[in-house]
Amino acid sequence: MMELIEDKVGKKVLALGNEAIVRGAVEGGVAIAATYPGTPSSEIGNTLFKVAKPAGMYFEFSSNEKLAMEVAGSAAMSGVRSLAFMKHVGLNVAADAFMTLNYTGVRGGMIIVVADDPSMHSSQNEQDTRYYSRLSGAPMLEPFDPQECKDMMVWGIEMSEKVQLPFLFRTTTRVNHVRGPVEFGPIKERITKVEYERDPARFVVVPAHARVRHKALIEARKKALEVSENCPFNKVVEPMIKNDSGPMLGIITSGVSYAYVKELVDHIDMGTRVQVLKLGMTSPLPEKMILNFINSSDAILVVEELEPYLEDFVKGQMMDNGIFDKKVYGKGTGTFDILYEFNPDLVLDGLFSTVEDMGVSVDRPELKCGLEATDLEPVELPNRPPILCPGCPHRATFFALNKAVKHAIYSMDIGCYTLGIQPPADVADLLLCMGSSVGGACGLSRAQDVIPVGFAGDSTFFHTVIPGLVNAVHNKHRLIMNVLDNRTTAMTGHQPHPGLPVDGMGDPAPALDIERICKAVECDYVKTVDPLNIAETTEAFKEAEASEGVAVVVTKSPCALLEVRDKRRAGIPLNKYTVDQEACKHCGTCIRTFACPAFYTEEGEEKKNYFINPALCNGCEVCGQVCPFNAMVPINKGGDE
Amino acid sequence: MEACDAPHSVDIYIAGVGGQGALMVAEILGKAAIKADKGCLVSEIHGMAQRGGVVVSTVRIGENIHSPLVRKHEAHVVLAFEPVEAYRALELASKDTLCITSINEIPPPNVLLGTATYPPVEKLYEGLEAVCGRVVKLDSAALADEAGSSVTANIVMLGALAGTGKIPFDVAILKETMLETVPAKFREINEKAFDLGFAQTNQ
Repeated sequence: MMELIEDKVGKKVLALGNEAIVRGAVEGGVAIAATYPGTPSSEIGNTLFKVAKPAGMYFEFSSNEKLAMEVAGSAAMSGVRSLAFMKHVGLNVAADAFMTLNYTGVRGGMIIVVADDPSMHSSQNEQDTRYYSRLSGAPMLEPFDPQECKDMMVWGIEMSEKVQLPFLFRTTTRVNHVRGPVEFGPIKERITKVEYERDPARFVVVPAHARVRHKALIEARKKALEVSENCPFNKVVEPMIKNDSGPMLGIITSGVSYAYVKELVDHIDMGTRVQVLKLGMTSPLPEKMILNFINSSDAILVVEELEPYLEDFVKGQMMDNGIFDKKVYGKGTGTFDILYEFNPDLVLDGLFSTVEDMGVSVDRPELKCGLEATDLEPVELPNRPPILCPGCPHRATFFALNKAVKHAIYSMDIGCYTLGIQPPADVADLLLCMGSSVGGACGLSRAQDVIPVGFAGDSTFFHTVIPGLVNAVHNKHRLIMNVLDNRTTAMTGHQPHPGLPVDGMGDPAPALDIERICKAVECDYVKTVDPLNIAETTEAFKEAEASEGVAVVVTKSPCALLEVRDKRRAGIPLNKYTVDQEACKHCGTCIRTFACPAFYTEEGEEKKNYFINPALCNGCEVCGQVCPFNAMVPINKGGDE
Repeated sequence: MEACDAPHSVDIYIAGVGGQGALMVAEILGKAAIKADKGCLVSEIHGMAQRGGVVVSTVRIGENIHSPLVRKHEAHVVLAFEPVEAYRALELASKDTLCITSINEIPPPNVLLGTATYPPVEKLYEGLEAVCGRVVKLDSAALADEAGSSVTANIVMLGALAGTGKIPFDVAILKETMLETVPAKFREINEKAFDLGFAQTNQ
């Protein structure tokens, strides 16, 4: 990973899109970076966590995206080049700061990387961030591969500084999570501190100033339009396969869609002339370039994932310029869907249906045959949803909760523990977004009579749950909050958070205590327990149910993945369990109520036999407390690790 | 993306289960390709998928590659770490596809809970044999144990892939990259794992 900050011009490495973004920031002189982790942007932070200090940058895991936007934003307002990055829904959290940041503008270049997740590989929605550029006025870049991620960062920082506006840098999962060759450029000088030059008329947005600043934003957009018309990442690309006959199909595209289009038109004859307008700067869109492209095409096909952002602009341009005799294919014609991410098959199908509609006779290449060409019946396959790991403390927490509280309604939140939706835990009734557990529980406590139980991880607690607890206490809501404190931001890859004694630079930092914060905001009942102790945890949930007002149970035990890693490093053996076949009564309680993925069964002569896979067991010792017949026992009965 | 079996390029679809080290294999392939001065793209799915879910990646090695994904039935190689996942990958396979699959079954938790069933493996293999040009089945867990650690099963699979001759550059570069990537103290057993896998397919 350290090779990403090497000052070697021309060196070529294999880099993830997210790593290429870090290299771009390093080359481009970014001095201050901030984020809240979220897939598919997380590896940017994981990389900076390791390289920021040796690269001479400041980096922090802010406690939420709004703070990351403000930290990086004020740095850029001061004149220091900065980077904020987050997943698409993180921009919703940061939107308040982001919107007005475009009024003040910036003095140092600022890039805001926002990673969209078409198909929702690991997200709750697939909103299209590109509309945020229209809403805010922020110029926007859309890279399509790792090399462009790096190059666009360097260029974008310069341009941001030139037009004095922060630049959105919109990626998608298939850009963030693609590895490809990246060639290094020179590393620019990094200015880490400036003397703050006061300018309240610009940076203090009282209404009188804001009115002036909105005008300034519109002026800055005009400059940005010039930049876009001359942007090296906006260009007309000719296919490798040449066809000199027939009407000209003009394809307008950006991001990873360009990658699919480029490869298809390079290798497959579309039966007619084709040209591609590849857009890298997609706000402001290069009006003249697009108009020229429309004029030199007979029909237009817009290939873009999610919303018809480019398509609507293209249609607007045609209307403004009186072009009514050319058809625009895209979402409006049903050629492509608004839903989900694209793939090469889907794009190829769109290309063919377009040229066919244009009256071109084209031979679709024959698809190769798969299973459908055989006379075999397809085998029905079991799904393989993600699951809580063996030894995960969340599984123990849910087991104890279900044991203690028989009738509740569950307000979920975002983290590994969201997997509590699955049986046998089955503890999820509502979920909207980061931090919605506590607010949701507040509403549930008023709208119905069953006790609401909200869940939040430790990182989520610091992200947005604290204000929710304040709200719950002050407005006298009746609810139980369970903070599942596994000492890390687990789902996104184990980043630190304010509850841990380390910060984004890897330096020691004050670790904030969740129990003390809950007490400080005057929750009525607060208790911290070890969820791997089922009796203690069950008791705490019972007490919470019997208490009044806002009750908080903090179940504190480190993520099993980290625990196992640390034990391995320290040479401490895991206390693995096995099933005492003589004591086992074949009742199935273990699988029915706990379902650790290390359990498995085999059909015996009369009954099912139960086993624990020693390769998967992480030695949490909870199954020993789950089995009503004490049949789950340490493999090494003599040892007491 | 034409389905040419040109020796200078290969499209590999890797399918496995979270925690098996399939992404590491993809990364090693990519790094080695760069070292061999080949173009390459590796597409992965991270996040939720890693908690025991399906993990897939596409590795494309060659020149003028732009798309991070391959079209249906266009993968030259399917490298599957689990039989059900090999079968799930059939939509990428055709008679021009070489399929290498581990025979080590990992039943998903819903099978354990009794809400789904693990299909008979012979049915899975029947499908693979009917669609793919060549199917190689190997006991990667046993070979990994033989090498010295069960965690090297992914490197056994990488070795098996190298043994087929489908990698369009010197296998020594691949092996060297693998040895640089694994933790230093496990180099020896990983080298053995690679060689054991290699011998399975290299005839």
